[in-house]
Amino acid sequence: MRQLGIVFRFELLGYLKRKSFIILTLALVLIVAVVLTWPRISAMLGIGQGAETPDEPERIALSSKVGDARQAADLFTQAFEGQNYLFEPLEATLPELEGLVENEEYDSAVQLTGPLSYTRVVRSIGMYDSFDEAFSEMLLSQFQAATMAEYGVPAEEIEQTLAAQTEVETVTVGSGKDQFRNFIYTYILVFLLYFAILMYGQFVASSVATEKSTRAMELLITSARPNSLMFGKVLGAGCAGLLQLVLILGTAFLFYNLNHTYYQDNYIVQSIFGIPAEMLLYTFLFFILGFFIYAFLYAGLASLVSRMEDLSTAIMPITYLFIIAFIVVMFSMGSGNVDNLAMVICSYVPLTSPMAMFTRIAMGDVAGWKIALSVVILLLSTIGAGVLSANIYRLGVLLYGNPPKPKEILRLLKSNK
Amino acid sequence: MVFQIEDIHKSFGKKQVLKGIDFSAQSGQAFGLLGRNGAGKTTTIRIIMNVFPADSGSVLLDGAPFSKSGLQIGYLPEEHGLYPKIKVREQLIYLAELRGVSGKKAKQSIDYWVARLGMQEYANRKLDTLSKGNQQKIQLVAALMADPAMVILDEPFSGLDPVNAALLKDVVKELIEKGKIVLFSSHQMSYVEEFCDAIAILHEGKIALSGSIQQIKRSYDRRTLVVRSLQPGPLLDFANGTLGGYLQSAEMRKNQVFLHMKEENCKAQVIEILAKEGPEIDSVAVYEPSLNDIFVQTAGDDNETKGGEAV
Repeated sequence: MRQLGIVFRFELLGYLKRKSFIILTLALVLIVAVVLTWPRISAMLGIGQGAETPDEPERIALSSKVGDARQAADLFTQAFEGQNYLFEPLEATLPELEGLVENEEYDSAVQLTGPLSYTRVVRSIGMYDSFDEAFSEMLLSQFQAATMAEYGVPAEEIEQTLAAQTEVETVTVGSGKDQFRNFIYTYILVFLLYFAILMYGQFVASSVATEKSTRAMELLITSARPNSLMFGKVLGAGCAGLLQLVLILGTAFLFYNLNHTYYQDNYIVQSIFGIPAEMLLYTFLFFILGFFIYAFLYAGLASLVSRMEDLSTAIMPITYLFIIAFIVVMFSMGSGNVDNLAMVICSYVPLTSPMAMFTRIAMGDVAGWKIALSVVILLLSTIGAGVLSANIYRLGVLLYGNPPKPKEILRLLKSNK
Repeated sequence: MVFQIEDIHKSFGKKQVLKGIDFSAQSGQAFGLLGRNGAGKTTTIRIIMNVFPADSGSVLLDGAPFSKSGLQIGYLPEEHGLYPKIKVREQLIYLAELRGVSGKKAKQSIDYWVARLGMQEYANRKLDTLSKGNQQKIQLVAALMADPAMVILDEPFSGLDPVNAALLKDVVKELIEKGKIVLFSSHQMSYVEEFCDAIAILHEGKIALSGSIQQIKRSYDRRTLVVRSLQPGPLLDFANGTLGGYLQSAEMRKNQVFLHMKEENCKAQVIEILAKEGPEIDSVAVYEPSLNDIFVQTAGDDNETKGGEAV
């Protein structure tokens, strides 16, 4: 136990002192902080459509085939008040309007062609352009108001009718999820799980392989028990990974909360940070279990390798399994059904369940006992992987030459019992 | 303390590597474990270091079963290596702590040995910036820092220049004087001859020869005289002529004349005749085989041992 502690501390400090680790962590933390503070920064610098420093209004040339353009322009300017559109009435044909816009005399132009139809002339439409939506809606309500007025409906009632809105409240029952709402944060967390598990698993693998290829193993193995060496190494890497994850997620939540007033209208960002606390706990649970089962297997396999060049070949089968799980999860998320057969199978198979079950919890319909079953299977497999890898490790660390074939490993394991 | 290995057997798969190894070493004595590549030296050492267990046989300390936790063993492996990208002192402290030496004591001991081997300026450098010889010395610090009662040195002189080799010689002598058990494995017979009181020559997993070097040498027949002279030519002629009756043969090697006598008890007569009638001679001695000769004779048959060193 004491040795395990010493190995753990040495390995963990090894990560924390490593330049690449520090730089990567700082860079990620910085990026997250800046991205989440960006609306505040841009508001302060007056970039974008800040409310305090309005831009030049968008000048829109307005002509009409069906009525008085001047009257319509006044009406529209009034209706779009506060939205920075300036309608200027004009007698012009469509080609003339096109010419005016093209020559940049106007930002855009609108020709009314009927009570409910118009032609819009623009140089380009921005990504977040919502003019057509708002303009159509306004034309429609004017048309509706005019029609109702013709039928003799009092002005007050017209206003009330048009202002009426439906109120919707959705109740999800059982463990069903609003998949749309959960999609984005699930996506982000699955990515995080994928990269974190793969990266830290491979850190463990290359650390074992380095000790072997530099022949430090001979001294280590005669100074400490193999179990202390392997478990200390895996725990050290796991802690470093967890720390990085906590730092990044913590920074994200901190900066979201500092700037949350800027995100009141941003559905996407709100849905990300509206993640239930239990999902965060599941993230850590599945990171820890997923990391350990992969790290153990990676450590075991890496101990069979004598040269760094052989490492990636040795750990490939397991890496592929994880990538397949990732692809299944991504496809299922995209298809909108995360409870399909492939996902159900993947969510119980130990090496794929960290991602698959996590996704199903986040976006699908899984009963509590199924989650518990999957976690128990994963937990038992992780312990099994630990014991197996410790045995392989003890054999492998002093085995130099070509990596042995699976059959040989089994034979060695048996004969060494 | 007496450290004893009794009838150790070890197989890897179908390959029998050790077929009954016995030897014993004592405090204040250096013991040489010799053998060609693949003879089983490293396997024997790893069994002592408890890297893996023997299939049968026992390792005893003062007659009781030996456990590594009861005794600090300093080990200098032949295939040496440490963390290339970590500072020397840092990894030495790590290794010392793993062996159960507390932080403060570890630092003191490391500083002592680093200074003793003249490595102060390298202590805070990364290992891979050091030359091979200096890395070897760091490895030696690692072996000695926990104040072991027993030291196992596997090819300690490989890679050292003559100055460093002399330094290491001093250290080894000091260890012997301090009453440590020194287990020494080397191909360089001159060093073995210089330090070791007793040896065991391993050949194909068996002890081919063991005992004190002196006894081993004495066990060879003493019927050959080595005669040095400034005139080896006339001396050889004289031997073949006048001494012919006493001799089986005479030969000249490196300006020395070797007289192989028919019987051991005629030494005195031969020397007398030589002194009275022969050409001028510088010295006469009974020929004792060098350890090198003994080793080649014992382990140097034509059967190449197969398989790698590190199994």
